[in-house]
Amino acid sequence: MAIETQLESAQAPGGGDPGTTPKERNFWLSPGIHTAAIGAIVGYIFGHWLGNFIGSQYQQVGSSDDNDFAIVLGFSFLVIGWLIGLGVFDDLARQMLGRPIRSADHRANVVGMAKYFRYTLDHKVVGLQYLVGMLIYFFTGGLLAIAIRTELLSPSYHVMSPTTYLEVVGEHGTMMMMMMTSVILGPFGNYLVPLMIGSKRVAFPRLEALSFWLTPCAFLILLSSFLLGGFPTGWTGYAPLSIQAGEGMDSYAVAFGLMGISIILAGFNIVVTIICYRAPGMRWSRLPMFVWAMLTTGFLLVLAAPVLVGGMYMIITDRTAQTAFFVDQLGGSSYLYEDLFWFFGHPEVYILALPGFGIVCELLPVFTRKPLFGYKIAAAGMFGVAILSFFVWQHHLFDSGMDPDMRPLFMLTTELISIPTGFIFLVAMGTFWQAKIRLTTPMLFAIGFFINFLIGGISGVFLSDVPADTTAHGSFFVMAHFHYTIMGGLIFAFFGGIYYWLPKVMGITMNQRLGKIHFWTMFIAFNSTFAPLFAVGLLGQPRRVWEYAAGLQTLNDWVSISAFCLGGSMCIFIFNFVMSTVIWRKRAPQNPWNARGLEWQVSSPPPVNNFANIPVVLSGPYEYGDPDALPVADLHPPAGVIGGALVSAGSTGTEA
Amino acid sequence: MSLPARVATLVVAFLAVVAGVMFVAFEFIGAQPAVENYTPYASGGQVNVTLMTTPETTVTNKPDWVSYFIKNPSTGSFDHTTYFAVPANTKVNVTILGYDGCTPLRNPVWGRVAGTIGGIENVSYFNGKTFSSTQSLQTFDSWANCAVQHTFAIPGLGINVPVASPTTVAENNALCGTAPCVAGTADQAKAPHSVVTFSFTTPKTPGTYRWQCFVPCGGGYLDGNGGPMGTPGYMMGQMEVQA
Amino acid sequence: MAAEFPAAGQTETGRRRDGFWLLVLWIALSVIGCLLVALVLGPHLPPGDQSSSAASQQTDFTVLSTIATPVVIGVLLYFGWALAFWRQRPGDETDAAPIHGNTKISVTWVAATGAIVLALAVYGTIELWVPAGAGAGEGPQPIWKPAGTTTSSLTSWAPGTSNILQVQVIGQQWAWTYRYPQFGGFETTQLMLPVGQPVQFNVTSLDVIHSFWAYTLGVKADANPGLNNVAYTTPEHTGDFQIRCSELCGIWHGSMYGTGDVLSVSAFLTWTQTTKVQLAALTKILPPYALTYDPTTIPAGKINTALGLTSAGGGYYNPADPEQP
Repeated sequence: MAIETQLESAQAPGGGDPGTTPKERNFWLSPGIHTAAIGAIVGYIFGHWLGNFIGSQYQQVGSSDDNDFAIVLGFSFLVIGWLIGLGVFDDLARQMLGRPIRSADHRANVVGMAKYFRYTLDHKVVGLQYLVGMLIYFFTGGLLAIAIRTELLSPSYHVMSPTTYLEVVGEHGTMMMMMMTSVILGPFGNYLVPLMIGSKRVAFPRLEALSFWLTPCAFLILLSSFLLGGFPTGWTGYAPLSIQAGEGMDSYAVAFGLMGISIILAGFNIVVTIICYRAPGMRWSRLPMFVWAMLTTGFLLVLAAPVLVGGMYMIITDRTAQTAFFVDQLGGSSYLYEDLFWFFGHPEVYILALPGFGIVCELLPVFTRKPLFGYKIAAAGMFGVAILSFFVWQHHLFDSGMDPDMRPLFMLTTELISIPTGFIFLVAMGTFWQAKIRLTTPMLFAIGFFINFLIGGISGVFLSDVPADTTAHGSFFVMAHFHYTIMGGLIFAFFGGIYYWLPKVMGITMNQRLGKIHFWTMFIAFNSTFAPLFAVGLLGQPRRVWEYAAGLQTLNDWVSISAFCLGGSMCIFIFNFVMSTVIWRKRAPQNPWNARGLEWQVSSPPPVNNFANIPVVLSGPYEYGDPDALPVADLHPPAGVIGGALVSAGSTGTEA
Repeated sequence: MSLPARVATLVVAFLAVVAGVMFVAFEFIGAQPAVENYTPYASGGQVNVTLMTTPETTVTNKPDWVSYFIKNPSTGSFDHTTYFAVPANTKVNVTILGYDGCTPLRNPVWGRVAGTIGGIENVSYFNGKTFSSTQSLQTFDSWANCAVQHTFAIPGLGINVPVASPTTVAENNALCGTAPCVAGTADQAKAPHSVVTFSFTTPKTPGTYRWQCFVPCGGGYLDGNGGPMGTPGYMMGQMEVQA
Repeated sequence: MAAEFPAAGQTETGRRRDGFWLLVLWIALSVIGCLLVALVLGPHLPPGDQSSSAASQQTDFTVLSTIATPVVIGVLLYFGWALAFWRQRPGDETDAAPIHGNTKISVTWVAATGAIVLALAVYGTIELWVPAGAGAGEGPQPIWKPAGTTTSSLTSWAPGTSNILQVQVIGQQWAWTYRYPQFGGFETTQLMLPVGQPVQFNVTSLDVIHSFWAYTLGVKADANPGLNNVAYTTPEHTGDFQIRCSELCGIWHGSMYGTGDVLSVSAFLTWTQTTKVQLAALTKILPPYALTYDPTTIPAGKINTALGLTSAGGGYYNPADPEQP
């Protein structure tokens, strides 16, 4: 296993003398978000002109009535300009010119807030950038959801035009499903995994920072769709409607492709980090469950996301170069898109669910003061979910006219995937057995996760049954199912993780009382919003409609009012978060929850290099209640121990 | 930053976000289109509504899109909107001035008049010089006869009216070049068009009903149903039945 | 839950026998819950029983809900018990007992969940097979057909024979039309069906993907352009039913709905005769009945080429572009 054992005074890569401090340039003169914005604007203008120049030569492009070619090229060069302006390629250029690279030294010397607005390679900085980014994307999507529920207050009086309504529905779905793929791996995975495995860095800091900086680009490109007339297909982008759509569809395809690239890089980085950068003594059997979740999620990202990027690319060529991948009149097939999309789309929802499992498995032992029940079962559950998720995608297509022979097969595989999912519940219930539960704010969110995911998961079993799916597919039942699993599961875990780890990453605590108010209002409002939607769907209301049967208005109004209350609970969170981080800034102790994890053994916030010395891990993080358990790690191993520990780590020992 | 500075920044940022959200919500998402209100102009249980179809929309930033226009009952000019309001339980007499040329329907079923009083529409053609006599027609073959330019369909009330189109090659090449297309300049007065009239009765209870065209007149879009077919104010609109 | 644990459940009043009481409560509540779901809720579950496929789906929902009830009750009961009895006392900073796992419990859990899941998969397959596909669209080559419907003549239809009634559902942006090939191929915007007779829906689209959902008939089949999607059902009761589009197809997707009607057989036959006569002029100009349509290619004999018309395609692809076989 490759372990980084570089001492602090090693020669800097690129040939600089050790110990020299490079001059710190003025923030406004060195690459950062401001130069990235300028680069993006220049890039878009160039790309747009280039698209018009090339496209005007081709009759096929001209016949399409929309300026898709110019827009897509504009966005592509926007991204390239953004990255150039951000300084992503600076080190590459320097190495090619034979000059010393700067970024590795910069990491230790940049102070203050400036580092969050630059292409900084410290994984902790990237984690916090992701956290703020993900919160912005989430609340933008949430505001769009409020707009949707406002329109659905009445089946006949329309607040928006039908085009605007579909724009909003599509933006809400895409913002959530696309931008939030990295909602946990980005902030928590990138920040905490090196700390949890005893490493000073991630394997590919440049790829990790790049994966973050592609997200604001994708966010703004997606929002620009509003200015281009929006896209009418919802987040699934089914062809041939997506080929027929106006210019806003290009924003969707480019943004989704961009996010696809971002998540591939993030997943790749995290997998290599976990496999190769574990400290001595950090055996697979001592790995925190959160890290297991990140590992399986990373595999899913790397294997599933490329199919999405391919599908989006085909949509772009169908719309710009007038290819006919998805157009049946010229030999293409609308089924092709459906299969490509859902081959990614199904692992995508497990990409969203697995990190949630990881967080709650991390929270439970701390707040029950017991080891995690069935550690191996939990890890097996995560792997089982990840592997099976590639074999179930046709359950989104049961009514589409696909080969009927395949239906019992996919019904079986989809039903089977509930077995490893059930392992997580077994682990939770076993951990609860005769425990000493502390109902802190993070623990409340973890319990809320399990209750919501139970309902979400059971409704998934209903949907996996093909006859039941005949009524439930494409209706609000599906909506309620995935909101229960993704919002009731993942987002509750996300908030639990924020309350739990904010003392560690920022060194400040959030107000616990406001946190509990946030939890209770959110939990009650959430269930009040989405539970009636099961009934609404089964009573015949399809998805993405703005007119529904008059008899369903009472239920829809109840749901809308509850959704407004849910938005209100988010405001409580925003208030708590912003005031705690900006105004109150109540200092947190190093280990406020008295947890055994390796990340809690360093200061809050952690030092720049995470650990002064690479620690030697002595026992697992869940050894509560055992008076003979060793401390989780030796943070200052004597010189020479590392060599010995490397030898013993290589041998196959018994599980802790 | 010191505490007062942080508080000030936070307050400014909060107000900026709230202002931004309000702006998007009211100006963009909730923007209501202009509605031609015919209700005050109803008399004797009847109301007259006039619409126009044009091959171009020179008054907007999409000049090559086809569009409907609706006559403003108070000013008499044709406004670029597709939303109108009529009273409930009233006989609506609709006149459509069709200045566009013919396009084949994707489904010829929409070439048959349905839901109007008598199940027919009355058509008279202007070929650039003279008006033809008025005929009552029910079925139009948009494939063999180049007979349909657009349809005015209110599926919620079962109404479908194919707007007849000028039928000869010469007329289809001499269509009106500006929009809206009314007698004013010599060019517009000579533009070939059809005059279609029909009537239907609005239901007794108020409500909103969408109306759309079924001709794939979104040129340059896959299947012809994008562009003007999918943007409010061109080939789709809403009829509000008021109490 | 009858495993042996170290004594960690001690209370002031002595050992509470958590496992025993949890089991008893779970069984009691589950029995009550299952009876309520199966007997009280079951007959009212959607989608009702207006057709054979709807009735079988209703049974399916009832069975699934009945099996789900003990699972939900079990987990919620356990969580409630944990939150009630296994809380950390204020001032107690010690840890709980270091239980890492229990092989017997884990194996039981895996086996039980596996058995339930496999049983559901088998049951679902049976429920899909027996009611002729349970109303789901089966694609152009269906494999589950209603019993006794071996022939399919397109020239005529009579009730009670082995010739199944064919109704073609055409989805277009943004309305549904229905074609009856066995009555001369007329096309109408009204869907009428005879009660007690098996119906074969041939669902197709003229432009983008729609989805034909006849809610109380329990039929849902995607309408794909250039493809035929077959779904079967047998209406059992007269009355009307909602029809909705359940695949996003553009701006008026939410307004693409209507009502169909199940009539008595004689009323249905009368309606077909009247409508066939009424729509005779229209039927002459329709393209011949086919399982799929491509309006982008209109045969030269039918279209007015003098005006340069070649297709109802919208001009996205130049008509002169070579087509792929």
